[in-house]
Amino acid sequence: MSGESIKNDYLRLKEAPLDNLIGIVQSDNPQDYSLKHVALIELRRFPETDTVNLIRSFLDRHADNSLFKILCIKALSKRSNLKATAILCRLVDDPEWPVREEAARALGVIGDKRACTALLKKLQDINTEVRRASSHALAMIPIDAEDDIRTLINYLVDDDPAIRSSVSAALNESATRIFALRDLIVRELECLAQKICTDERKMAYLLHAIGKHRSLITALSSIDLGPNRESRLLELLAAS
Amino acid sequence: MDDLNTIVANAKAVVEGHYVLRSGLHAKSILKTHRIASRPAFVERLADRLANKLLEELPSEGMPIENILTFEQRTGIFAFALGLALSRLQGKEPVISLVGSYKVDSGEYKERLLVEDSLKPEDRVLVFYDKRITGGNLAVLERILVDEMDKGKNVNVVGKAVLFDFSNFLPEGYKAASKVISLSDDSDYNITFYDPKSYEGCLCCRQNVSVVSCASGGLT
Repeated sequence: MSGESIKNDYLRLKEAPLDNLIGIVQSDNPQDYSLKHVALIELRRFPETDTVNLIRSFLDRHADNSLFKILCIKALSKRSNLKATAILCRLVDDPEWPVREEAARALGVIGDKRACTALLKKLQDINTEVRRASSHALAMIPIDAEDDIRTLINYLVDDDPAIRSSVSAALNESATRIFALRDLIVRELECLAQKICTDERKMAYLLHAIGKHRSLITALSSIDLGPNRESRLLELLAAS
Repeated sequence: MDDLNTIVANAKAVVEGHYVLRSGLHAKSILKTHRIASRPAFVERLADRLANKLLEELPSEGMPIENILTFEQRTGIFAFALGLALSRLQGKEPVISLVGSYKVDSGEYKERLLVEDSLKPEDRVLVFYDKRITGGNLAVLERILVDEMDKGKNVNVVGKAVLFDFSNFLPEGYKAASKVISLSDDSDYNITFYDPKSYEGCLCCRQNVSVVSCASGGLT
């Protein structure tokens, strides 16, 4: 395929109707490889159309192609429905970490709370960038399940400052949005403080994370800091 | 294969230690390709071999490789040599599109093309990295391509290539997904990778071997 004909096909696809794009994505012709890229990108012009099954079968046929996987994630990121979330939740377990990272970001953009469990699991990924993308995504999703909140709170004392920051933002969002969750969050923060009270570094992380958000700061008065509360609080805040 | 082993041995490229790779895997030893990149004759020999293999194995339809997308620094050194070897063999010099990786304020790494217009629309692009373990950095380069496509710049990816492929040594439960062309398909290097979060964890962590090189930003 010459460069000129690719260019013409590409320009044609920029305005092609949905049926043409579907035809190219479904085609098994290896010469359509570069056109498939464009067709997948152009599918985003039809966010309301149910093309998720098409993307799913495409992904199954091209499971060894990370470029196609990233393109599919981009195409799915504009589709806020259960099927898109399910496919992205599968892609957050991909062998290649950039694919996992992109899938986590896309789940944050969609903001579907059904993705919470998969994203919480990814906070333990061995790749730092996947963990950060998952924590960013969680900060963009309305979290209201009590178990999810309990799991999330433990990451307020994670060693990665980017994760601590996103997690505290996510908890603040939940506590602000649902008043009933605020009590739960405050109780869980007290429990966490009790668990880590002998670890100066983690206590400093926790106080720093709490102090950043108005809805979490109420927990500060309930946290037991021992007899010299004021001086210890100052020490910990200075360390944070 | 013998030549490849000779180059690795002469460059003393396999080094022992406790390494944390960008993928998060740990390694007891790594192939330090900087040591090979600092020997021009070795770089040239590897590049010639890879260029020949690429032209044999990639479906070219008579069309040359027009662009090599890779990272700057050591991988760029191999890419320049590969570009020269390809230009001799195919009669057309490919452009090298270099990608830089920068740590931003949030602590994250962001990658971008160093020369924005180095990738031309409809270019036949080879994605190249010096080695593959999980394939993460190749996928990072592909992500750059997707971003370019997103801006309306369609490119034609002809394939992915590495000099050394270590995906056979991945720990249980890991598998590099993508297909790549590599020089070391039947490599017998004794390199062991560990998942630090698996049941057994990393041998070096268990033995309290301190991390001598944190490779975030470029090894996998």
